[in-house]
Amino acid sequence: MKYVGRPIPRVEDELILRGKATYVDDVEIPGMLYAGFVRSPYAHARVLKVDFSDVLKTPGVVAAFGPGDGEPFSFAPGGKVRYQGEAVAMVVARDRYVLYDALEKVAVDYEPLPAVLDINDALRPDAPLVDESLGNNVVHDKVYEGGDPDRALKEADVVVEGRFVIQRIIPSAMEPRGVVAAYDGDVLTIWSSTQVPFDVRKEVARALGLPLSRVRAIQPFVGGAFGSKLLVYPEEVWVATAAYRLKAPVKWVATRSEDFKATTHGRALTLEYKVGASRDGRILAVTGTVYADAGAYYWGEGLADTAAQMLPGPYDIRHGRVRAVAVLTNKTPLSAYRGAGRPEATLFIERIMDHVADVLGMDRVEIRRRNLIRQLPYRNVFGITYDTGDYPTAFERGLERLGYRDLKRWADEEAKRGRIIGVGFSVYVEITTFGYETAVLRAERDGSFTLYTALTPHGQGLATALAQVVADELEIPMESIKVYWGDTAYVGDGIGTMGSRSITAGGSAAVLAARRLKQELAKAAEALLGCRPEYREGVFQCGGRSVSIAEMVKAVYRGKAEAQLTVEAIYHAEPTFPFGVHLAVVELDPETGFVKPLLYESYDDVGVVVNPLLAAGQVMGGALQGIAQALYEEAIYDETGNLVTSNLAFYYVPTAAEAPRYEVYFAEEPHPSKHPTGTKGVGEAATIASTPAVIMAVEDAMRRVKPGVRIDKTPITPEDVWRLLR
Amino acid sequence: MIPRFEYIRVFSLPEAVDVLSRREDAAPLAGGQSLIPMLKLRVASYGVLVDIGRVRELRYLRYGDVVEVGALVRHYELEESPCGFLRGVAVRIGDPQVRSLGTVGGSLAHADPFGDWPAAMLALGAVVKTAGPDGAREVAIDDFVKGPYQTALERGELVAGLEFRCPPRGAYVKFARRHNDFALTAVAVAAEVKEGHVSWARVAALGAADRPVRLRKVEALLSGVPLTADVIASAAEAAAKEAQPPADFRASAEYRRALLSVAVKRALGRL
Repeated sequence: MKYVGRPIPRVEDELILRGKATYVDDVEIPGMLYAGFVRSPYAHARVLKVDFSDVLKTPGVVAAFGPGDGEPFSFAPGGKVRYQGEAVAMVVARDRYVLYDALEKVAVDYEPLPAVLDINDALRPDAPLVDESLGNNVVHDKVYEGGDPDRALKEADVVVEGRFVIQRIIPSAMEPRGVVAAYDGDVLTIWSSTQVPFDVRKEVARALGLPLSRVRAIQPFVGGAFGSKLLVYPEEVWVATAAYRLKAPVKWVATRSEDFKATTHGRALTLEYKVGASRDGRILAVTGTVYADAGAYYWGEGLADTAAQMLPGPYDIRHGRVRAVAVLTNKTPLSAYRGAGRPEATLFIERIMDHVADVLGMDRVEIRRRNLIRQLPYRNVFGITYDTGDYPTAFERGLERLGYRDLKRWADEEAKRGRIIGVGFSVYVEITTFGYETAVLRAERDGSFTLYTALTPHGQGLATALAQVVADELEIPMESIKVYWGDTAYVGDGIGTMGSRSITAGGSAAVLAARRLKQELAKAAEALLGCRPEYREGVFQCGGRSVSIAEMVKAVYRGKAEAQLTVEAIYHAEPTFPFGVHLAVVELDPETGFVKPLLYESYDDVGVVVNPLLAAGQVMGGALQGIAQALYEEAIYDETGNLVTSNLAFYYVPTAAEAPRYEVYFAEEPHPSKHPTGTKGVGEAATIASTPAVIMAVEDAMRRVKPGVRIDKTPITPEDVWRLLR
Repeated sequence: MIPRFEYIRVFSLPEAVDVLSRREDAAPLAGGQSLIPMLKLRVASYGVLVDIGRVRELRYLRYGDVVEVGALVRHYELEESPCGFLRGVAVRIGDPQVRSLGTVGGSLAHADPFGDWPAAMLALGAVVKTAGPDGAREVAIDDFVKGPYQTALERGELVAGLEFRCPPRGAYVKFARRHNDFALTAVAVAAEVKEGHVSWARVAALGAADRPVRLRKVEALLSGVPLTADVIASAAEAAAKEAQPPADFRASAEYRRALLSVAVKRALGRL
């Protein structure tokens, strides 16, 4: 009885639903001190003076650190702050009431500087400089090129130009960031709401000159991240340093408004494009520039680059040149947000396909059909090789399964009754999985197994999925496997959960560890039984004799056989490429511009689906985030660089009331990856596919009111719709 | 992080009034759906919070010729009210958590320009009953809301309850970006229609000015005429002309004006 492929309920849920899961703010240590940060109210300012004299006299205040305190307290580097919310000082106090009053008493002299908030302004020669050392605000500029795009554009029957702007998103994990650090004079331990405990450990050890063996980083339960917790943040190092110097436990947990400003934002890419096509709808060349509104520090390396390299998407486009430019602005630094470059690439190319279809008067399905890649593996024009799949078949089956034509007909019927329904779809290929991952598997004396993973699940249900793949490999009940994660004491190094890579990279490491452990025990069983045993369902047998795994482990401890009972596997994973077709149905209120998502459907070839329940959860949650990008969320700054949408009352994260009905399908004949798990990853698929599907659906609905209208930005708010329809 | 405060729980109205009038830095705490977020954001700070949640005199709900709503009636208690107008307003407030804790009196006293009850009560022509150090007062709703977050309440006074007649016909139309969000604009209409003619109508809106306001030109236009499509269309147009909507990050003034017009049209269409 195999576990892989079955909708096993999450083993993690019991703790979480009963409120017993330990999040970083639940970590309590006697003598805990509380840290907080003084943050700049200005988007751009010189920091002339930070005065702690009042604060240090306040009863209950233990310490304060500012720009003058040297490394690693890198407050206001270069003597200035570059975005609203950037830390200028840190105060440590005995309780939180004292702390937050004390933070208001730190006297900071700022000299406000002109702020640059828009990439177009930032690119002007006379723009204020975010980082003077660069000489301008362009922090990254790289061209990706293949084929002969100039010639292809010249030979094209039509050349289509445009611009598409994607807004800034605030990732809004329900749990804000937070850190607890404690130093007992021997080991420095850090608990952090992070996706990357191994990086936190390395960075803290480096900053304090400590050996890795004396620094332990723990990722407790984490209430969401979406890529916003995959960097090591300065606060993690600062809190750890304070604990180390004060030899006391120190806790910092961001408030919601603080988290909205001090945790990286996502998306914020703009594409200027020029594409050439033949009259029969073949895209011959794609050229353009992707601009990233990188914010105040270039932490989001590679976002514009991923969008550029994946811009051709699932289409066979042989000529291309795309520039990836990152521009500094006086806003919160930009970094990964669920999809990190691929949602943007997909939205861009899907909008381009629609634009070209409109210019040619061609059906939106037909233009895609004519351009889809026919043969896999396929090397795209920028050198990325898509591994496996059958795009034309999956495309046709997907549209059929999702009922695209029927829904279009239904929308026509409804229109006769005055109800405006829009139907849209999207096609995507995305790149997942990189780097290595580590698994350690230990056989216990009672026949149970302990799996330690370097993955860092924070909502994905990986303890369930990993137990499934290991149980199948060992042919034992899933219940006899316990999965531990999020502690550098368990595993030496790894990367973490991000980029839809976990089950592929970390799951494969777990499968390999299980395979090795089985081999170890088989060797020992052979010595014990005197014949080469066969292994089935936890028992070795040959020559009429048998020994169970539990008996084997005991035999090893008693010295009757030799075997490693703990094995480690480090798996290096090459990228793999999921493909899918998604569909959205919306209803438009033409008088008000309000759009309601009614239905969301998906059809994905993500290789092997380990757990359809978990996978469907990823699709639904991902889809709602992509719907949010299309219709709701946007980080809005005023002209001085003040973040207006600074909490959940002002920033439109959609709720269950806004969610559509979902129908989730997976390809009947999936194309597995070459990894031991055969998986391709599903964590970001719907975040990638949903925004273009919804945008097409909204445009479809709007065109029933006003033909030819085009959407060239996200989000498309009710007011935007209303203006376009007037 | 909420600033430190002293907490006093009171059990009677005189006790509440006593503490609130003696302590200059005191604020009453009922459902806490506005006060607590303001404290968290440190835009408000009080030395003492007076928890009036257990004051029995403020917890009543009576339906007779006159509807009497105690200040501590929570929004959810009106979700299934026999008065249809109240149901229509209550179900559009926040989400189940907000409706389970937030109170009608609190909403009035807070006078958020985008709060639902002040506009609804304007349409109802409610009387606000207050209690304070100088005794009880009755204030007409039209005189109660003085501006954004400003009311006729004097120091030490609190809202004790509201009285109004359930209108023969009524409607509440609200446009918000999310179901649990503040309104971009909303229109409350209370009216009586006799023999096909509007005998009276009170029309109030939020998002039409810096505070909830009555749309008096719309009311005048409706008075004594049948509710035909033409009348409704001119009322919608009049609303747009009469309004001075604010602009903020949620919506431009121009868009709010257009929404207001649609809201008036739809509210009248539901009468």
